Amino acid sequence: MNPGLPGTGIGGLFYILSALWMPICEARRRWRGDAAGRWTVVARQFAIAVGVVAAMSGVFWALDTLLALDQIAAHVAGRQHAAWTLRVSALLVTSGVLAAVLGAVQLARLCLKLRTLRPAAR
Amino acid sequence: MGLTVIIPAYNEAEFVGDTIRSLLAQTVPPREIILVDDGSTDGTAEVGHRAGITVIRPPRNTGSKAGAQTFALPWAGTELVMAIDADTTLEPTAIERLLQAFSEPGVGAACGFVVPRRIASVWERGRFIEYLYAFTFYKQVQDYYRRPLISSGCFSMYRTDAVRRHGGWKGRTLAEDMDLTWSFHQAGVGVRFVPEAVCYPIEPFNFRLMRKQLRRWSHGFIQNVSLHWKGLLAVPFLRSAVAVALWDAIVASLAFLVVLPMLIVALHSPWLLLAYFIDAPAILVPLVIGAIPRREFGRTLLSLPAFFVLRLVNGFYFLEAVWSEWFLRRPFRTYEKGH
Repeated sequence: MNPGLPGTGIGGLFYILSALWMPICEARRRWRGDAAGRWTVVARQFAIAVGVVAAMSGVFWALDTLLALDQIAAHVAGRQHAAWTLRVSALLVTSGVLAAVLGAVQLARLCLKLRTLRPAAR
Repeated sequence: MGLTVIIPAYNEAEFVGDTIRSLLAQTVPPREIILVDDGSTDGTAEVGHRAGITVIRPPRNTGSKAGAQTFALPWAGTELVMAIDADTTLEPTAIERLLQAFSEPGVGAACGFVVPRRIASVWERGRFIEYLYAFTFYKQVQDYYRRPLISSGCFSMYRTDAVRRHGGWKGRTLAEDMDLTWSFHQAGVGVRFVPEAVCYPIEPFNFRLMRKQLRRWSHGFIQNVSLHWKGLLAVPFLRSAVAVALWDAIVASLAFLVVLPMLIVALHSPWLLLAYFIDAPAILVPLVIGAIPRREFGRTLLSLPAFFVLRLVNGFYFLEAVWSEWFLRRPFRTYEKGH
């Protein structure tokens, strides 16, 4: 079974970032001497992540070209390069939401840790 | 390492023969195959008897796959035990490849790559794309960080003593495979994903069956989050993966089913319909990488639209599960078979 909706929302960004982090993680594992020759997997997943980023950039480029997004956005926002600003904002919002969700998980973990430590300290 | 295979079955006479044949044709055959005839009325047990495997029958229907598998656990006298759905067949090398995962110390469970056996209806095509995407990209990343989200119930191998310590497959949620996997992660038992070990289950081929499966999976996910959330917080990567999956399942479903339709109506802009499949090129990247070695590029392209249909339907049943389990406090407990 698959939980949730694969291929959607911040999940996509989470797995892209996780895959982009893999070469660094693998190098660190190698450095520690606990890697088991997983460079093929790392390279493959890294390539997929780069491909997904390229594909999404292509989508934005196509939308710009087909829908003249820049003119529409400039008309709406009343300034130049508005579409570029929109794109950057969209990326920042998605990254921000992902960071908030991951931050909330860490916060919940800390709260739970503190709650379990408190009775022991009494 | 000796292996016992458990096949839980309820009225599976049509498919279980293929499953048994594929098990007997393995390059490394199991020491024993146990068919749990869970109160079938269609001659499932006779198929097992004819194939010469062990057939056991609980005194009454156990009510779930988890119940049937746990009933058979005392019969497993080997170091390893494997659970396989009665409608699932395997590549001839699947068991051999899955066994290799257990050469690594600390590994207690391993699962393989899932590909629907029949890919004809819109539901089967949608599921084919979903699996190809998830198993080519998400699951391999999860495995790299040593935290596969689920050791799939349709085809997984376990250390028998690890399953026994956990009390078998528990029926407290509708997703016993997720329950066991998350319990293993919390207990420090290793779980691995072996993409080379391929299995072929029969997926829901019509809406009636798909609806049952989606309800079971969505409620099962919510029930497992409710049950395990405190324990999950202590497991790196898994806690993030679960939180992100949960967020997406709720927020993306709301966006697709509520926000976007409202915006389209309010703004009279058909261009907004693009949002339903704007991520198609991004989804296509892992699909192409997964499909080319399998020589299924054409089938993948042809099936892609079905994925977007399934995603919407999936979103609806996920929201229904959240509403029912968390807001109405009405847990769904009936195990409805949907393949």
